[in-house]
Amino acid sequence: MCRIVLQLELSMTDSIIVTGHRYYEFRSWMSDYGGSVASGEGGLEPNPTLEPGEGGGPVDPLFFDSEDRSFLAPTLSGFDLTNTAGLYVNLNGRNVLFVIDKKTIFYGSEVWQKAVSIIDRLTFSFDLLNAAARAAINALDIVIFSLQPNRSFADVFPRRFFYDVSEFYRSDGSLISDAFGASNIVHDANHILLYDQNLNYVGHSAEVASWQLQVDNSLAFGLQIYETSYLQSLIDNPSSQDERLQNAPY
Amino acid sequence: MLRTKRIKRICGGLFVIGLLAAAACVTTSASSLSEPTFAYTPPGYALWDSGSSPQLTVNIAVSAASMSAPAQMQVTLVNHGGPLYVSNFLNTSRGIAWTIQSKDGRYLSSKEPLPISPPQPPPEPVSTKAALEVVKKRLTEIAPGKPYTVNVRELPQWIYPGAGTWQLRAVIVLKNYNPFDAAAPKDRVIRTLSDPVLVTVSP
Repeated sequence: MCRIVLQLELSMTDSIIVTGHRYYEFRSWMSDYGGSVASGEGGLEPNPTLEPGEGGGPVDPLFFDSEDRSFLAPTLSGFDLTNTAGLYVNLNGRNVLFVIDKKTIFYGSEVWQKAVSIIDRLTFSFDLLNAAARAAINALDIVIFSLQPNRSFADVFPRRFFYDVSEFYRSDGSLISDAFGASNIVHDANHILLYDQNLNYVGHSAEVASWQLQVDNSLAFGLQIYETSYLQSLIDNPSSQDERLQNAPY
Repeated sequence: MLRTKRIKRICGGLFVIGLLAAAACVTTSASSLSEPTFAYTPPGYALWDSGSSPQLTVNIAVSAASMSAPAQMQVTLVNHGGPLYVSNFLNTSRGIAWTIQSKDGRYLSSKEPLPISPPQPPPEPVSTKAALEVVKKRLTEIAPGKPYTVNVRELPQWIYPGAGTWQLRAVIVLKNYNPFDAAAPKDRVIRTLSDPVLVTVSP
């Protein structure tokens, strides 16, 4: 009986299969299950007490989703992506995939919820972004949320962004804003776009272009003034560093 | 359905092609050896008091150097000057960059360009000196006599040109975000270079 109920619940959210792996449509998943997680406790530590559908709510398929997506881990990286869940959003007629590493991000934890909130903000902001930011997102295929990368980075081939969830926290232990997280995705998507355009996609010029993209779309993302100021401060960093490096390295 | 096919093409087809491209990079890396790209990192977030510039010494140690396993290094910052507080996110491309030279001193590129991290989470804004003191306590203090070590782990192709013996150095770039520092912008940034370490990288 339980199995029948579960199958009925699972069928509620649209999903697609990509290279043999299931990805649930984000909007319908949010509508069906987004509010079903009991709490956002746990942080980066395991919280086995969290269960989906507490209080008789629907059973979240992502709770049971456990797919081996090891093929997404960079060669030699040692990343363990054997237990993952997948979501996708359709942006501008194109699907962008999101993978959550369930070995390091525990279902329902505040990090899990932050990842979901960042996807939500990106989806919500997309139509408000300028053409350059939307073009950047169009260059991105997959975002992988995991604690394993050691730092966030974009990989230009395949076109994916590893988001190190330890960076969901500021130095003071508080969570970053959804807007800042979403803007980081656009930042790194822009590196991929620069690569696609055969332009400098790493180094100072690429960083400035990507920071500027975040600043230019600060209203669309809903960045706070201090966040924009911080990005602007990175842009304003004395560029003499470039000259020093090129002319007389050290 | 069309979208599904498209995603399949992107994630399946391109991934397979990506493996081929990765192999192709092996052949292109040889030419890049004569065209070095110098180390770059956005500055790491730091705080120090106006007029008490930190005096940094940087030491590095290499605990794993192979082209078939993640590169692991330890970067130790020693401060001989005034109080220094740094971001807990200090890492490669977050205030730490790497340079590679041949044994005869030529600057070389890594086998593949190192991807830079997106911006670190911005700190809370402060408007009072009392608030600044609170933020300092949340950062990592590097006090004289208390070295701070950052453990770095990167893919080897982002650090080394390939197997061989190379001189590895770390570059530390920190920017003072103390709003009460009256120093000119260019004097808010400090750069420190470690001594080279000779590293033999196995295949």
